[in-house]
Amino acid sequence: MISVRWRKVLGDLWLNKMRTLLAVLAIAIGIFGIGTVLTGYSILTHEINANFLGTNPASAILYTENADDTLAGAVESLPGVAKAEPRRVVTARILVGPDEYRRLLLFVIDDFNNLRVSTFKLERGDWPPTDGEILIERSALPIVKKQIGDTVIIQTPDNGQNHELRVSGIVHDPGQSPGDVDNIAYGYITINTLERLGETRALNELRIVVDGNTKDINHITSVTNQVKDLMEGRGYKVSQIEIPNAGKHPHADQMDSLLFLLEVFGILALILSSILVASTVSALLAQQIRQIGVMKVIGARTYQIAGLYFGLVLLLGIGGLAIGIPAGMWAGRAFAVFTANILNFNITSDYIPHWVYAVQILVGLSVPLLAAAVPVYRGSRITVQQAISDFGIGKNQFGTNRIDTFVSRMRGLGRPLLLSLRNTFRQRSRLLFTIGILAVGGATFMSAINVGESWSNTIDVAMNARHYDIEVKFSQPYPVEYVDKTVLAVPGISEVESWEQILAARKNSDGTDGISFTLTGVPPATEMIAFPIIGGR
Amino acid sequence: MNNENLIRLTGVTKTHEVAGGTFHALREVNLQVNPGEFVAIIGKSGSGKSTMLNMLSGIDRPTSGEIWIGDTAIHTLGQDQLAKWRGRNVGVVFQFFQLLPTLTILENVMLPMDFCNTIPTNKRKMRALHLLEQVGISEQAYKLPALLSGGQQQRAAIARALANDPAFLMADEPTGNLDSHTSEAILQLFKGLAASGKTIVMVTHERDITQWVSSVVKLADGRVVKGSGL
Repeated sequence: MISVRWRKVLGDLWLNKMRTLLAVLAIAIGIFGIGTVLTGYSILTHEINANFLGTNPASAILYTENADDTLAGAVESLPGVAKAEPRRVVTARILVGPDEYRRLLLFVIDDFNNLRVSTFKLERGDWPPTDGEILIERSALPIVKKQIGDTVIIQTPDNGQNHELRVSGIVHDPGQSPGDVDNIAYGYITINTLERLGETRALNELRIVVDGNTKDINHITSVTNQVKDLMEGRGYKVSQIEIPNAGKHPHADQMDSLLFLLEVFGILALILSSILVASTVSALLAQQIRQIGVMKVIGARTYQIAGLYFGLVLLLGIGGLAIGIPAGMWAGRAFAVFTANILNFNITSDYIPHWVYAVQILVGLSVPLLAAAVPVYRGSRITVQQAISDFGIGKNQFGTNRIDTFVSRMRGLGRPLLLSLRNTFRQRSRLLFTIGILAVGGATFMSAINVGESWSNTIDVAMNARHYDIEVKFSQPYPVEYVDKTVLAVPGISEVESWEQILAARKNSDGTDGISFTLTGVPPATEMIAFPIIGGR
Repeated sequence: MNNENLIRLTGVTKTHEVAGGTFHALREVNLQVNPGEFVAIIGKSGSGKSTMLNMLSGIDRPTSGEIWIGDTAIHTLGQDQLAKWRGRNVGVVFQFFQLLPTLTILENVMLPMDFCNTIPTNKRKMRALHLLEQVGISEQAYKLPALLSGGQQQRAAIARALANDPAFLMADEPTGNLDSHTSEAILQLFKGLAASGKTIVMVTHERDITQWVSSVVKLADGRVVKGSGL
C-alpha cells in the first residue's frame, strides 16, 4: 500500500495538472531529442557495417594498364592484402530524354560471379549481365527512367557514338552515393560489352582490401606501397594511387553533420527542459512553503521533505521518459530511414541496443533531479519559522538589497508599471529561471534559423565563387586555342576558359605516395572563379 | 517534582535585528507549566504570545535563555533534532488549521505517524480513525479538507496533533477563525484532553477564557506581566 506521504506527492502533481504536464512535456522533448539522435546513430552505425562495409570497399585503388586476375592473385598473396580485384571505371553518359544526357559511371567487371572488392547485389532481374546488357544501380532509376528489359543509349568518351544496351537487372551498390542525390547514374557491364562500346578491352584499376585495420590510413598506405612495388617489379606501371577515405562512406560526413545538428538541438532541448523542471519545482515549492513548514511541525525532517520533492521530480522524469522514449524511437527510426536513403543503404534491422534506453533513462531521471537539486535543497532546509510566517522580519523580502533599492527609487513611471517592475524583482530566483527559459528557448529558435541561413549563405558563397554556367570535361587533352575558339563560336557563349585537371598524390616523407587529390590548373588571371582568400595570396 | 511533563522557560529573550535597531519580541521571560495544566497565553497583538508559543514548540529558538520541555533542553537542538522531537512529543494546532489540501482528513491524521514512525504501519489507520472519532468527525474521514467546515477542520487538526500521542499540545489561537458555538466545542475538547493528562498551552484572544483553562499567562511588550512565573 502506498504511504501517505507519497499520496501527497501524487495529489500535488494532480492538483497542478497543467504545470505537471508542462514539466513532463519539457522532459519528454529533451529525451525525444536525445533519443532520436542515439536511436538514429545506433541504427546507422550498425547499418554502415551491414551495408557499406559489407561490400568490402576498396582500401586503395592502384591505376595501371591491363590489370587482370593473374595480377590480382599475386597481390592477394602479399601479406597485409586480404582481397584484390581488377576493375575499370569508365565515365560515360546515358541518354535520359530527347537530346538530354546524364553522367554515367560504368563499372567494368571481369567476373560477376567472383566479386571480392566493392561488391554489390542483384535486387531484381538477371545476373550476370550477358554481353550487350547492363545492370543499373537502383538509386539511378529516377534519372535513367528505364526498367528491366528496356534499352538504354550510352556514349563512351573514346568514340562518342550511341550504343544500345539492354537493362538486364537492377542492383544495389551501397558503396555508391545515391545517384538521384548526386545526379549521376551507375551501370555495370562485362569487359566484352565495354569492347562493344568502342573502348579498349582493358581493366585499368586494381582494387585492394587490406588485412587488419581497414580504417588505419598508415597501415593502408604501407600495404599499398608494397603492392605498388610488386606491380612495378612485374612490369606494371602504376600511374596513380587513390586511397579513399578509409572505411568511410562517401556521404558519411553529411550523416555526421545531421547527427551533430540533432545532437545540439537535443542538448538545447534538454537544457530547456531542465530549466523548466527547476522552475516548476521552484514554483511548486514556493507554493508549498507553508505545507513544508506544517510537515516539519508534525515531525518531518529535512531529508524526508527533500525525498518527497525529489520523488515528485522522479515521477515527472518517469512521465517524460514514458512519452520521450517511444517518440524518440519512432523519430530515430524515421531519421535512420531518411539517412539510409541519402546514403543508399538498406535498413536491415531497426533494432535499438539497450544502451540507448539506458542513456535516455539515466538522462531523463538524473538531469531533472540535478536541475531541481538547488530549489529542493533550499526549500527543504527552510526553517519552520520561515515557512509558516506570512509576515514579520525576513531577510528575503523586497527592499532588502541594492537592486530592490535601485528599482524602488525609479521615478516617472506609472504606479501599475512600478508595481509590476518591483514584483518582477521580488522573486529573484524565479526571475532568473524565467530569463533562463526565455534565453535557452530563444537560443534554440535562433540556432535553427541561423543554421538554415548559414546553409543558404554557404551555398550562395560557393555559387558566387564560380562565375560560369557550364563545365564540360573532355576525355583527352585538346589545344587551348582550338577549344576556346570553337566554344566561343557557339551562339550565346560570352566567355570561355580552358583548365586542366589531374589526379595528384602527396608524397610521403619516405617517398611513397600518400592520399590522392584533384589538382586543377587555371589561367593566372581567371575570371571564372573567385574563391575567398583565407590566408596567403 | 516529576519533570517529565514539565515546561520551564528561564530568562528567555528573543530579539530581531531591524533597520531601526534591535526589536525585543520576548524579554527575560520565566515561565513554568506543570504537567496536565491547560494554560492560556493572552496579550495584545505584538505582545510576544505567538513568539512564546513558537519557542515552546521548538518552531523558533531563543536569542538567549533556556527552554526545557520535560527532560529535553530544546534550545540546544538543531532543526532536524527539533523536528524529530516535536513530531513525537508536541502536537501543534494552528489558527488556520493547516491541513494538507491534497490529503483526506484520515490521511492528514496519519501523516505524522508516517514521518515519525511511532505507530506500526498496520495500526496507523485504525488509530487515525479512533482519533477522528474522539474529536467527533469520524464520518468525515475520507473527505478532503476543503469539503469540511472550519470547526470540523480544526477538530481534524487536533486529531492530527494527537496522532503520535504527544504529552504536550501547543495551540495558536485555535478558535480565532471559528464562530462562538464552535469555539466552545473546541475549548471543551481541549479541556477534556487536559483532563486526560495532556499539558496544553494555548495562545488566545478569547474572552472569559478562565472558565476553560487552569491558568492564564498575560504578556505585554515581551514580558510576563501576570501568571505562572518561576
